[in-house]
Amino acid sequence: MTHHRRGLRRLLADDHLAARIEADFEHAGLDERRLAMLRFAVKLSRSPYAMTKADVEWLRTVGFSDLDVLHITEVTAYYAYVNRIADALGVGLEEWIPED
Amino acid sequence: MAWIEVRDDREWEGELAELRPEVVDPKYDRVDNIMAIHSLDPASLRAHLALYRQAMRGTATLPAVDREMIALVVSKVNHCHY
Repeated sequence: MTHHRRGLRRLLADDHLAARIEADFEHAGLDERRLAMLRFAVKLSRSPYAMTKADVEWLRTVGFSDLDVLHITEVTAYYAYVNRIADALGVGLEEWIPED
Repeated sequence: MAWIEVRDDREWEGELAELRPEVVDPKYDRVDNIMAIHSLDPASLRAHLALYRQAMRGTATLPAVDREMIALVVSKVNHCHY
């Protein structure tokens, strides 16, 4: 998470929002579109077998295109890949990067 | 320290050396551990880099900040501390 926390902080230019999202995105004051995107990603990560067409349709309802849905899915699937690699092989934080 | 052999990125040669500029963090002139872990197989490093670029490349309707947001939330769900 450390790398993403830093990445998000930098991109949001709002340390507090990044921290609130990390702590509990449901109560971070995010708009409906971002909430939908994150809920989809969380559900897919936790219970991929439970995904249905309705999950995709909800993303469309909040304004995402099919291309966006493909991309949201790709980001989520990429993190499943990279998190597995980090966990399986004991990938640790870099010694040369100072702690937050 | 990782649980498999990792070749020090400062000593990479051949195909790894060619890939190094694409994966190096310019701030520290070092390769992040999540990329360096692939050092035993340059093709593996290439494949990860391609996946990463495609997943995190911002678009007009799903910019980089939203992708990083997904990354942070999903990594937490996956209990990944890296």
